[in-house]
Amino acid sequence: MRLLSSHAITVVWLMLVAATAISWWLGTDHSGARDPSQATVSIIVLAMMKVRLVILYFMEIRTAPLALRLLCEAWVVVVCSALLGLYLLR
Amino acid sequence: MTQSQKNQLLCIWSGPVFVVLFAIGFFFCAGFLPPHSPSTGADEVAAIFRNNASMIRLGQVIMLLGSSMALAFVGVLSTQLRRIETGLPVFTFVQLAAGISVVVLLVVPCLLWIVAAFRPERAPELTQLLNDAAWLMLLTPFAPAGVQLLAVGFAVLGDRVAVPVFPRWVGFFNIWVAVLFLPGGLIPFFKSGPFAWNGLFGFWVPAIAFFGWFLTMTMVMRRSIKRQSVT
Amino acid sequence: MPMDIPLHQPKPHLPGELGVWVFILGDMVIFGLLFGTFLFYRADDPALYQRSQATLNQNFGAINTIVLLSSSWLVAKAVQCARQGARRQVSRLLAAAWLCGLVFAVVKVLEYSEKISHGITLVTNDFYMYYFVLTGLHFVHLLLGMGVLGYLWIRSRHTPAAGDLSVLESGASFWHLADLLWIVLFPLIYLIQ
Repeated sequence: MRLLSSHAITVVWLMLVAATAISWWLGTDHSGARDPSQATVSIIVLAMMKVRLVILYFMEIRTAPLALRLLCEAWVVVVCSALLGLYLLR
Repeated sequence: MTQSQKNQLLCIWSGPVFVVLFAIGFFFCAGFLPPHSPSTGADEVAAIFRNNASMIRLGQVIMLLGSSMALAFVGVLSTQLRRIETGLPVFTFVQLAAGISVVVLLVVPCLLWIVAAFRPERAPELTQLLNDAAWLMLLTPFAPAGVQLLAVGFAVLGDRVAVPVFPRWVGFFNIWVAVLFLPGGLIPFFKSGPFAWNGLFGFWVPAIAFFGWFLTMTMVMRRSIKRQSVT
Repeated sequence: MPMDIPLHQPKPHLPGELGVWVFILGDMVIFGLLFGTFLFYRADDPALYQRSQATLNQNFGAINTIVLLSSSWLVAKAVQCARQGARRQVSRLLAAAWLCGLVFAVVKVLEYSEKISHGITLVTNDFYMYYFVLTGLHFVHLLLGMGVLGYLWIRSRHTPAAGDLSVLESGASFWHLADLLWIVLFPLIYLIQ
């Protein structure tokens, strides 16, 4: 079990770096081949997924008391929806 | 319960009284909520003071009274910190000093607004000057308030006995509120937008945090003072 | 999600103490408000924001992101090592994380000086206002975090005491906060179109 969790954070780190690379590529590609709002939506969603990984695995909220976990997850959901909503609807 | 505890309990009511008086004066009488925009022209500002002179004067006097109540609150908070600090009570003194300076910076803006409303027929630029000075003095000093809060925070977090005077979350809460006051330092740079003196982070967040802090600390201190009689 | 929960369900564990989570959640709410405010006002003049964003160094931003992610990994590893009693490792990992913070800080200062030397400050336009204020507030948190890491490093060099693990977890959680705030800040300010 310990072995699993000690590798888990490394796997998470790799996923975070990959997600960063993808976001960077989406955000710096100005070739006009992609619809900018699609790129932005992906970037925002990726960012919130990264945040969730950090919260659950680095901050160890996955094994924290339920109330704290719910608060953190709620924050992710609310902020993600608010950012997407503000970007798409304004 | 000792006489000292009764006195302490009496003094903590100064917190809620301050909040209520300030709200009545600021909002209901003077009508300063929502705050005037810093980009308002001098003529418009002068008109506000001319048209509402009596209510502004009344509101500011009430705010003045309320602000002075806060001195008792600073006093009783100092006594609680004194309970924590067994050696030479440095954070007690820092909190007292900073708390007094915060109250002064509440009282002086009230007086400036009273001056502005005293002779509203003045040249509009003069009224605007007084209004600017009052708003900036009320909202910019994040540092004295921050120092007061950090003193409380550090004192509480350093309270390492079995039954601490305050629960530890109070220490973190004070540090967080200090962070919420930081945007005050941005107010001098903007006449509009969220970081101006009428903005979300220039006014609303610090204002809610400020009053929330008074009410929270009132409840926390009440519990702590009462528990004194049990131990 | 349920698949990775072990057979013997471990008791829920609060990483660090309750008070630090009051601070962390509070800060998350405030930054959430800041992020929302930024996007709200951006809609008023997206062209201005695009133009100004183009002057930012996205590579610096990406480097800083990787640096912070790595520092969080180091800190999470340090907590794991502390649980296994590997004290020396804990000190080394914390020191490495602190150095990552230093790299971030240096890059940030370079970025800011570059802008300021071109006459761009927080009053130049709305985008730059948000750029300086948001990254600036985050920078304050990062510097606070480096202070916390330094304090944890000093503690890790002394003989272990009773509440040590909890203090380490609390400090680690704060550091991860600095990381996660940047994870949202970077794309929001540097990348979105």
